[in-house]
Amino acid sequence: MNCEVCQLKELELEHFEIREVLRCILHTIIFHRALGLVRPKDVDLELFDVTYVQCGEVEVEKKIEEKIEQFICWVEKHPNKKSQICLSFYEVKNKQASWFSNKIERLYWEQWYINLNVAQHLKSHSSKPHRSKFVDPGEGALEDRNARSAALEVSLREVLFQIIKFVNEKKDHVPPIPNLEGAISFPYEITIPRFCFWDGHDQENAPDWASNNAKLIFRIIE
Amino acid sequence: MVSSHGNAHSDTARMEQIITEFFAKSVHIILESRALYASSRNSYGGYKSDSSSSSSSSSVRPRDKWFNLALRECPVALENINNHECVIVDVILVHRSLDWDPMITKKVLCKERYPLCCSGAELGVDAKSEKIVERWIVQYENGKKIKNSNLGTRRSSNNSLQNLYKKSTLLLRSLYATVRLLPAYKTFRDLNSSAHIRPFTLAHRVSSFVEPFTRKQESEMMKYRFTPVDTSSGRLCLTVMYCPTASDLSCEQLPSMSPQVISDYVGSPLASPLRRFPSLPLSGLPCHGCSSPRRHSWNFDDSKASSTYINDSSLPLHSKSQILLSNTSSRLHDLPPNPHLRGSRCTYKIDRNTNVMQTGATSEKVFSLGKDELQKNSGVRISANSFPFPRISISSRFYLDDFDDTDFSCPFDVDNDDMKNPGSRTKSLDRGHVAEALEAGGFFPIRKSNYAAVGALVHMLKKAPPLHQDFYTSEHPSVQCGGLRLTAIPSLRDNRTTKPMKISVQKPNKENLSHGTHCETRNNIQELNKNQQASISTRKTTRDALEEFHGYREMKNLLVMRDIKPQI
Repeated sequence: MNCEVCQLKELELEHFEIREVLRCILHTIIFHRALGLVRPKDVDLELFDVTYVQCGEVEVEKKIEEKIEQFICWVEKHPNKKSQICLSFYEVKNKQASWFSNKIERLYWEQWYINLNVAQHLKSHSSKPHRSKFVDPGEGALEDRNARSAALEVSLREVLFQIIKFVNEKKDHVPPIPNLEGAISFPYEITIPRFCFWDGHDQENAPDWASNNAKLIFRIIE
Repeated sequence: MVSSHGNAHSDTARMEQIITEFFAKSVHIILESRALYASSRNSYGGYKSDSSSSSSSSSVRPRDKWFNLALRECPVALENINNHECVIVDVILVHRSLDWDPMITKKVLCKERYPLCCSGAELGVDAKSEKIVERWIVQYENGKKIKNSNLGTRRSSNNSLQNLYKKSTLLLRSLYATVRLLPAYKTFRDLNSSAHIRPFTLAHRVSSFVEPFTRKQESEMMKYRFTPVDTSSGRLCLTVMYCPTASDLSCEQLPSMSPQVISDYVGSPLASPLRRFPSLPLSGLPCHGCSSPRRHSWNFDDSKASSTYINDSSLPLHSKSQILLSNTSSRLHDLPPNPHLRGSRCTYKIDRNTNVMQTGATSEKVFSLGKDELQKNSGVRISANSFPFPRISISSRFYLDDFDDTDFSCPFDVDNDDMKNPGSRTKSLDRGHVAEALEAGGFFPIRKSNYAAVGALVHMLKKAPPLHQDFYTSEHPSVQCGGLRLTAIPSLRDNRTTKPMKISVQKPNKENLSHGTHCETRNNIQELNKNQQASISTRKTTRDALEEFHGYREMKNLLVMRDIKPQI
């Protein structure tokens, strides 16, 4: 079975927009892959005129919020850097008991890469970038922010349509729907960016790297 | 053979069932977020974002299990889907004209429940005011078999059905998300939220055959075709054509009339008691001396008379009476202010005492209904005459029972009947009470108009005892002056002169005239003035003024006659 990879359009956003954007994208993808019984939950974004759909599972919401917080922490430590979040769907292979390892082998059949460029356009007196929104931007900077916000909304809609298009065009690789309780039919994981532990230095071309290695490294560190 | 045929038959039936349910589900998803008032009380599609939803809820309906998508109730979506080869759902933006009729809106909404026979003419609106903003086409194309079909084995057939079901489920998931990303969803949300009153509305039409778009229409719309789902005997297709921008949906162009909460409605505690209705003329307000033009049951700071209003009636009745009061006032705006106001106040009074107007009837109706009761119980006489609205004459006793307000300083009890029909004055008034009040010099706590006051004065003067009988008393010293008997009476202070004036003049007496001279006359007059000043009462009335005036006139006549005739 092939692993279908979808690289979503890169979004330029500010720190305070990260939560809403990530929630929207991650929940939309999971809703399309939660093929168990769902009661869809419509959610309106506060920063944008966009309504997205959640599958309604509390556990899913909790896990997504957790990963978003981790990502925000990472962004605060690595300001003005492009980042990537990967949402992967996999199947669990039969356990292969061995003397050396009892890892569960996962067979990824789909990966979504959410590319974000978190920029800080305003100088903040505080060291924490998330407080920049409280700084009085001035009239010109406010107009710039509004323009960027409008552009981000358009881009976000494009990303959502990109997801819908991908889901429609690629159906054959999706495994059969298991007869499971709950909305989530297939296990998934969310990985935050590849802050590289490969050689101890940040990789400049990190977004272009294949995610499998990074996921393995990240898993080891965890 | 038989089993294979049976299996094939069952597979075909199952496939047809999947296709049928797919049609129903797709129309349900579309109409759930496009049909106004057709879905449940939740204004959004799906469930509220703050509600905890669980797929393990016990309230799972059988149709929710199809494609594992539990949707809200949408009765419109379940109606009239007979054709499972092609279903077209048109989402129509209907512009209301400036003089839009709520009944037309009702028709539109009713037509949403029966959309198959819906058309512009039946909607009762001009076809030009309709615009199709979305067209959803759910179609099953027969005869297009999948390429790599391997239907020979049972297993492959099952796989095919499972595959069909899985892909249909995925397609419906993406349909659900797409419906909420298109511009019409925003319009639907705005209209469904009922927070604003818009000059347009959304309607829908479900049909199997529609007129194709014109080239111009097609050029204005964008098209998105979902990836078809292949089946063993055809394929399921889903297409949408939509207006790409919100401006086409007139979400922002047309002004919206947002309902405003009227906090100072009639009957509201927040309303200022001094607030005047625009229909009431300025002169229609009560005369001076009244603390507030209208009484309200809630106004505890108002005059005492208003407190009785609270005690006597329940609030709804008060509200109704106040509304009727305002309605009556607005209808009487072209009338002279005093009768107008009197009529409205009398209306309220009737309401309090007779409960005739509980149904909120008009003043005429009330008067006609409660006329006999009023006359019997409260001393009220209702006269139906040429006056536009029936007027009510209320006895002083009636008013005294209800008014404790001493601000009403007008001393005369007059009603409109007296003004109109002087001859019937005695009938309309309770003479005894009026006379007693007048003699005692008391006040009627009734606010009277100037016209009424003059009329009352005239009446009183006509009924007053003769002037000359009261003059020859110690309070009114009189002197002989040049054959004339002059009597000092308390006189009003004239604005033109500060000197007290001689009022009463008698006809010359022969005895008196024989002794009088001019000098004696002057001295006597001076003495008379002194006495007058000592005995003059500070209380002046209109009657006194009138008497003084008559005295002046008689004196003038006598002086003229004296000049003419030789002095004896």
